[in-house]
Amino acid sequence: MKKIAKYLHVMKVSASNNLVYVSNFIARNFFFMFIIYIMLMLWTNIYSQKGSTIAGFSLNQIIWYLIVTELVTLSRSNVFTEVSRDVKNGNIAYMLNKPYNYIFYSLSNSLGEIGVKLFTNVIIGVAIGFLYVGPLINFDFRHLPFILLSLLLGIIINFFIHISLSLTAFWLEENSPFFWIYQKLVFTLGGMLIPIDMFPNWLEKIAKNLPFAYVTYGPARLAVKFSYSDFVSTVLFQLGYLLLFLIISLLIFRKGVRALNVNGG
Amino acid sequence: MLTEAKKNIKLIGMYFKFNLYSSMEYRASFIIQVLGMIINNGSFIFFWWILFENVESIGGYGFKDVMMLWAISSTAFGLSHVIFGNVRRITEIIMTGELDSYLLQPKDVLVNLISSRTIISAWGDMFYGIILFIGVNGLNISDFMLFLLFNCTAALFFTSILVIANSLTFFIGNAEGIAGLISEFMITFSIYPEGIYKGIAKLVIYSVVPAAFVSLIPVRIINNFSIKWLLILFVFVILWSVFAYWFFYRGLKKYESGNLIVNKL
Repeated sequence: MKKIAKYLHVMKVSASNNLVYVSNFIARNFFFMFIIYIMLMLWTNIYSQKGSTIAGFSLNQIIWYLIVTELVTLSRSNVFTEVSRDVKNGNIAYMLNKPYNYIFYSLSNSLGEIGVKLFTNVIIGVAIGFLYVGPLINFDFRHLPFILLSLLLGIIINFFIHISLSLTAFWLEENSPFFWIYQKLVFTLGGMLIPIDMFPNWLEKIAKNLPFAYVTYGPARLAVKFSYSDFVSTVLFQLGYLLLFLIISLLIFRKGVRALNVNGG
Repeated sequence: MLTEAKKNIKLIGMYFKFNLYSSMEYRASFIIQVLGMIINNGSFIFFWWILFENVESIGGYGFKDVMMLWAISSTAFGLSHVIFGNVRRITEIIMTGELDSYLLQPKDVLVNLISSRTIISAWGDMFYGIILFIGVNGLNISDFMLFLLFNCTAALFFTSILVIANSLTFFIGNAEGIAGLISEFMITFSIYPEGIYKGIAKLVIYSVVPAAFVSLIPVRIINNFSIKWLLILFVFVILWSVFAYWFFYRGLKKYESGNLIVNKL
């Protein structure tokens, strides 16, 4: 219990740190409203030509789908920048002898940050949805805990992929292109801006097996088109990928620490 | 006034040369960042490709037209940040008092300030736009000359808007959040088909966030040459640039030194 308590404490400190920056918070919410507004205009135009459903999604569902994918991406922590910085400036050396595992320390730190962002973004997201397209059709409150679980798993997979990429800083001075490219993979193959169901068949099959789909597409699709069978398959995929990236990050970290060479003090 | 302009252009040229040399010093990092940005931007081709798989035209635009919007916006954004790389940092420079060192130099403060830094990844934006334009439009010399001209006008729009937004810091304190949002508005509005904007959004892109002048009008002129729209574009770019210059100096009168003592090498 004591072992977990210290991580919970890190999470609490990080959450209160993130509650301080009100202007950042407001700017982020404006951005959220703006991007969904652009998408609303874009999709309204598309639906005006194509009829009431495209690939099984109505305009109402597509906007709510995009709100959920944006929720996941906007609620990410700054773990990539922070860990890369710790490694590059040698700060990491001072964290190795602390009584915690660095990866789990970063996870709890991130979860505090994510918790605050997610909570506020959910409120804003729901408000935007109601304002733009009204309540989500066929939504059942009994499904909410399942959707939230999948959303949380998506966010945590996102964290482990980010930290794995950031740890490449042990070997590379300039590792931000990895971050950009990963973001864009989520953006495209992860179905962040367009549901994978609209992809050509061959690509849909590939994308549905890749990890990026389980960061954004999986939870968002469950939110707008819930079924228990989809829930089980999505969560199984998510748990598998979560485990995979957890192991990868631990391995990279272990290898990186061996390669660590800090000058000065 | 003409000698003044000549001097400023010479100063920008000198900074460009030195910034280029220093970027080239770390060639591997330069190449990684440029390629990373090209791949990053390329992901949007995927997004539009999928959309146009589902629908023939969006807001009167076909796939090629949207790619042209992208080509101009991306190259112009790149050009603006390669030459005036400090434009995004104006707020930070004011807030930290770093501005003092520019005030002491016998050069135009704004030009000196914004040109003294370059953003390496912006080269990627520039190359990407050029490759994309040639890719979708072929090597038609007159179109390409227009493309180059519109890159210059659009780069001036991007720079002016960022100067104005960041100069708000002189009046209201840290305007980083607002400047970031305005910059997002400019970029996003300029990369979607004009036909999707209705009501207020349409008004906004022709007035306070002049994204229509960045790419929408230029693409219209390339597709259907109109001397009237070309002249309107020139008038607006001059008006916005002069206003940005005036606004910065107006704000500068309110500036109080930050008492920061630093070595600037």
